[in-house]
Amino acid sequence: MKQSPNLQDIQDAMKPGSLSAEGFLGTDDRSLSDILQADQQAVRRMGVTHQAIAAAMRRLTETAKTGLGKPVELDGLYEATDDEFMGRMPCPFRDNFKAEKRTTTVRNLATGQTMAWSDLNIHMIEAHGFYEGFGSHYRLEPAALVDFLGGSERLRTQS
Amino acid sequence: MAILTTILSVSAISGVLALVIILAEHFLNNYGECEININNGQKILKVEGGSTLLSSLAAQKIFIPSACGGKATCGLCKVIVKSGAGPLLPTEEPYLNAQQRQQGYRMACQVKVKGNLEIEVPDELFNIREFNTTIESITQWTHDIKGLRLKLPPGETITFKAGQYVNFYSKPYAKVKESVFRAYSISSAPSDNQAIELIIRQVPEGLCSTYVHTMLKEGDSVTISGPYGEFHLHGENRNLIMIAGGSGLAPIRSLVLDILEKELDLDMTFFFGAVTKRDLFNLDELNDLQARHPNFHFVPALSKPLPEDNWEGEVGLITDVVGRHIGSGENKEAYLCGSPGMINACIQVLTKNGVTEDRIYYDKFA
Repeated sequence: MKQSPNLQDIQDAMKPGSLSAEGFLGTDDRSLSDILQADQQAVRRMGVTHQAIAAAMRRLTETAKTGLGKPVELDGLYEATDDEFMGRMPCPFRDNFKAEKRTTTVRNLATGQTMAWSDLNIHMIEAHGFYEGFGSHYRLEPAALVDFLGGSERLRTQS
Repeated sequence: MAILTTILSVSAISGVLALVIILAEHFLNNYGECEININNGQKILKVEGGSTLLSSLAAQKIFIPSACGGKATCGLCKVIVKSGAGPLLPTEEPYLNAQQRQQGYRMACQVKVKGNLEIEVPDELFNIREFNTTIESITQWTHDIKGLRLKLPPGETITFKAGQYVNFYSKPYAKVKESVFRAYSISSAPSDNQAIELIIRQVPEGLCSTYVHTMLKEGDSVTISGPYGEFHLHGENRNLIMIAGGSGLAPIRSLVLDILEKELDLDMTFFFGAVTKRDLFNLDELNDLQARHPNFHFVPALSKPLPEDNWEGEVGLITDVVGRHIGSGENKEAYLCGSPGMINACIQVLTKNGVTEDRIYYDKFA
């Protein structure tokens, strides 16, 4: 699908070596607008919103921050650990947002499953519905993410 | 025949349009030679227009402080632009308060040189130099932290205050096609002036730190510029509390070594925090300094030691450990280097215990 010049510029900024070593698109050969559209449809099918997903992620990150690197439990369901790094990362969508360089690693205490995300991931999901391209190290599959965060019903209740 | 005429017509129109675009780009984006007048004629530079003020000045060996490689995320590259900059950009706004805007401050990494400019910079910036160093040694301190020793060319020396930083320039590698630069604190003593040491942690997907951790070898050449920064001893002769985590050790180590060498009459307590033992490093040197210098006290602390760490030192969040040891904050000043979260939490503990905010100095990583 042909996309606007503005989205094309953003897609170029997402390529490896521009803002990060590996970029945000992984091995995905779809256009950015196709990536956004597909993930939007996936989220809609689950009956949730990008903002509800981001809010749940942010809640876990804020909890993790209190541990200063030490794991912190939340709701008896998750253990979240925060790892901060030097500097800030500008959002490739050129909205002037600058994310702190932080990775939040979350473990589901019941299943042992682990997921990790950056502050920039949360912002890009919330503001742009962007979960990164297939094959990207930080790609978060919407369905897997919603399931990890407790399912659609829980997200709708929390938001 | 009609089809052929149509094809030829469309091709001709396309060609004319392409030529118009090429000519427009050539004339509209070609700013030609521009003059940058610094400090009312103290220096006058002739530069080719089109680049940012930051990079144009750097090309002329005038280095404006920047920690983020010109990405408008650090806010350090403020200069007064008296004329020629154009309107304030949205990317500059978060970093300039009303007073700074009135004074004419702009972000050098965002201002594009499109014509003649008049600017003001502090005189001390003319002391900042570029050095072509050689990697003398690389030390793998932890799983994600490396120490580098960079040797200056024969006959050259660097003058800096303990606590300051340099800009480190990576080279193109793998999928990264351009050089980038990042700020790293100097971890060696100022007296060791024919080389500098750095402590660099790998940032996930980091453009510069990935270069350091995956490409750099002993013997490689590296360009640095500096020194920069306002994080240094403020000479108020109070007793010192120093707190760091991870690569935040760098400026603190430089301060400690400098103070001990100069035999300044200061009592130092350094709190070095990590989660588990694998993230602590350089313990031998720090313990040795403590053994040899009665005025240096070293307090390593782990927030969640593993059984195999066999840890017998302090346990708890660094803020808790500091709180247990600090006593009265009167007549003390604090030097902190680490993540924003750690800094913010430590400031709360310090002020709660009587260290006033004007006596707390920090290098916040951001």
